[in-house]
Amino acid sequence: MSEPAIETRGLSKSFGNKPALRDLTLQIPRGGVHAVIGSNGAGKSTLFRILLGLLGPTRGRSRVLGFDSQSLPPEARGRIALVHEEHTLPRWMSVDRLTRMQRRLFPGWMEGTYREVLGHFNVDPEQRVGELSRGERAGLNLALALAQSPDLLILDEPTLGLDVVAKQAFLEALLFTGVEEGRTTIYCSHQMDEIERVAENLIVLERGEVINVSPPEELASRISAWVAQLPADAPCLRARIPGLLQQREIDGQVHLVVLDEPAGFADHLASQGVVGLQRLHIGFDRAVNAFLSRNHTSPAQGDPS
Amino acid sequence: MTSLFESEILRFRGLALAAGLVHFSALVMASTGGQLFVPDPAKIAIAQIFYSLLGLVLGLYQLGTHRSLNRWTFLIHRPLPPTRIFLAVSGASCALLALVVGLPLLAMAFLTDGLTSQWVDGRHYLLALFPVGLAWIHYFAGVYIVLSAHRAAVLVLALTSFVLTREVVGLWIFVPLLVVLAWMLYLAHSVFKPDLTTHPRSGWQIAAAALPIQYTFLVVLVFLLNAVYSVSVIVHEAGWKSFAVFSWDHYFPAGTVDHTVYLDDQETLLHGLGASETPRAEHLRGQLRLAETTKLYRRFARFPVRHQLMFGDRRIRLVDEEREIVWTFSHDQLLFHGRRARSGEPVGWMGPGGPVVPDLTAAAEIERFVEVPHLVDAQVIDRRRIYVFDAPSRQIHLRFEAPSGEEIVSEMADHGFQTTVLTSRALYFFDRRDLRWTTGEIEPRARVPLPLAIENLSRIQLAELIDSTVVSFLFGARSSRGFAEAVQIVGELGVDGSFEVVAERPLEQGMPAEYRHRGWMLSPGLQVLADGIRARIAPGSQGSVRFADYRARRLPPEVLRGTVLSMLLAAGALAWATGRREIPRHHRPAWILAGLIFGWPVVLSFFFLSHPRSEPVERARSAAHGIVETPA
Repeated sequence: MSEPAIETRGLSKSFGNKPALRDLTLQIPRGGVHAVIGSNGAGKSTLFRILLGLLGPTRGRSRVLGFDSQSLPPEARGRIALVHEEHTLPRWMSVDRLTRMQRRLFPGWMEGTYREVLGHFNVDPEQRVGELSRGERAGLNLALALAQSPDLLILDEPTLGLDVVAKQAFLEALLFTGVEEGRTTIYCSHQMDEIERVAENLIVLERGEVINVSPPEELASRISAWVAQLPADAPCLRARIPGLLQQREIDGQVHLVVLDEPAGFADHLASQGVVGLQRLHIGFDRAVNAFLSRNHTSPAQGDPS
Repeated sequence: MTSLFESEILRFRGLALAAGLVHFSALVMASTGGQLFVPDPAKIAIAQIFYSLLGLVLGLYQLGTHRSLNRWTFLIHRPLPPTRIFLAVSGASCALLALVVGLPLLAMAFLTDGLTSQWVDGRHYLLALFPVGLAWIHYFAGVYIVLSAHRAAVLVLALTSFVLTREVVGLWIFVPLLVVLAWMLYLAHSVFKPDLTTHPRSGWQIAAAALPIQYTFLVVLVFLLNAVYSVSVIVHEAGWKSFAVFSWDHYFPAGTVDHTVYLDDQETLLHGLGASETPRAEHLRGQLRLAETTKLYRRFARFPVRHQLMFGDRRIRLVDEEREIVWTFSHDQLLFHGRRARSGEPVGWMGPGGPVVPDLTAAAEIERFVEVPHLVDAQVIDRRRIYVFDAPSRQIHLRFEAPSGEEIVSEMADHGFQTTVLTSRALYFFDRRDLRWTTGEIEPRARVPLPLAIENLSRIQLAELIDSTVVSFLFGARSSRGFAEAVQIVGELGVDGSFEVVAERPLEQGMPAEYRHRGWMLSPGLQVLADGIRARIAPGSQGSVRFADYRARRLPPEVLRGTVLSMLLAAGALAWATGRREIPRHHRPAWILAGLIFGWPVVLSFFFLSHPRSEPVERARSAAHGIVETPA
């Protein structure tokens, strides 16, 4: 059995007295697209930095492609590609010169893949990187990363700040260009529509801990939305409804988002004085966002707690 | 690796070209206003600062921009060992610095040599190398500062002071240059690693980073204690209200070496003679009140070394203003080369004693100087001879030759009717009239042997009386730190040249021993090390202390006790602190031992070179949190 693409055991990291990762144990198998999501400060960036050996953990160990991430040899680094939100590339170089530099660095360079991906973005090879638009830079960055034929591709908010057209081109290039057997892609984003589209596996981080590992649709299927009439003197529902993720009052109606609704949920609510209960359709993005924000909902948003 | 090298060259090629052109233009402008390769110390200092800043700014900017997380990831996360990435990035910068700094200097040396009448020695071509080394050192310092995880990294610049401010002579200047360059290269390489948040963990890397920091802390602590002592004395003596007008003139008690610092020449002589109750001393004291008094010092601690680079150069030109001829000393030829100030037309070559010859072929026949001399006004002074330049005859005449084993340490100086020359062993007196009537060598009328070693001499006071001269030797230059005793010896020089000691008084120290030995008590190890390095780099310089001097030194018991206590406390502080910081367990005894030897600067540096111990991270709460189960 091949080693997992990523494996962490009891991984912890503190910045001073502030913990960023807490005893994080995780295994990501080889192959497929794995989404890592979480609200800001959940520990995603810290995790990636540790996985790339750019940060040492306070406790615990992590392995990437079978190598200790704190001492990644150059050949292992050559098998891990990274595309991050800023698409930082040498601004002073022309696209062509940058490509030649990268081509010399990576022995497994796939020229076809590079050209195919770049074809989505209409990039002039003679242009300097500093003159490219953000979308073009993102495309170039992705082309360079995919052309390395990496075993592990980490995309950290790659479409942040891209317009709809560029985002579309980026995702198409990612999904349909030279996908190799065995390549593991880690996709980190706050865009749930992208996650739904690309991810086969969803890893949710919260306050430095893993709180979910499952296919995205499995998590979504566990979340349901309801609308009902609530009497003015109704008590706080949060304490009385197990798994309540979100409660909002809109035009005199209360909208509820619930995780793992228990059996007899409607009867239970009726006993609390709630009338006219109706199930609503809830999209993946709203379901997951409600899940992520369940501990962050402010009273201003209508959460009585 | 080569592609990364090219990338960095590409990145800075425009800036480098502009900087190189500006540098070359500045050199051309400087050469039109005077001799480019005979600059005065102020211009040398400006040039040193310019080259150093150029390297420092490049290092800070280049790696500063790479340091941001995403850029750093792009740079370091590639299938190359970090060392090769470091070599590619820094190699590109060093190549550009060599072109920006070295090439214009080299070009100017060739142009000056080939196109002008100015004389260019072989050493001036080496000038192109030294500033390049200086720029490289500061470039690596910049890299280290910007990539280092500790805030005290900037203190490594203290290391460069050993190259910048010390008067290293001859080609030996390249030794400290290369040592410091290697040190900086090592430091910069040690922090060029994927994880920029951690301190170096190897013992060598920690030591390399710690020593410059500790040296800076020692300098700062010594300075602070100096300020504390001065302020406390003033406040104690005069109070805060009179703080600004307090005078030290009368603070130190009579009979202390510090008291003599504030005495004028006559008072110094009177106090010296006051130590004797003989009638002769009383007689001399009486005459002294009406006499003219003067003083002289040791003027030269060291002599120039042949082929030395500009750092350490002083005057090397004799100017004949009337005939508008400038004579420049050539290290290569050991002769003066003359040229007309206005036209630049060569006048010829001039050696000691002989006539001016028109060219180097003819110069083969004339006598040359045996070494590079000091120039004081019209005097040309080497270790054993004093010559005087006679502008009208275009000749340099020998005036005085010291006996073998003696080194001249001051120029010929007039004191009333007499002229003196101080050597390392004796004070020579000449009749001033002899100097006026002859241009040749003159015999001293008296030789007064120095009673003690020249290194400890503070100053000499003279007073011409009716029938004799009173001479006071004040020794104590090395007494403050206990390397010699302080004593004043006063004698009478008769008209027949005989010298008789009339009075002798040992001088106490005016400042407390703990204050005088504060550097030693804070860090005996660093004090010895810094003194040893200075003595090695600049032997014979003022205040230079050798290891042998330490062996001969006798410390006051209170200083010994204080030093032992201070070191034990420093080691104790480290024993406490090392248990509370994040360091490898086996480093702990090394830190404590270092504290025992190098004292308090080690304690301070430790806090900059170690992380606070992290709090134990709370166990995962997923089970209790349990909103969503986490599959095993």
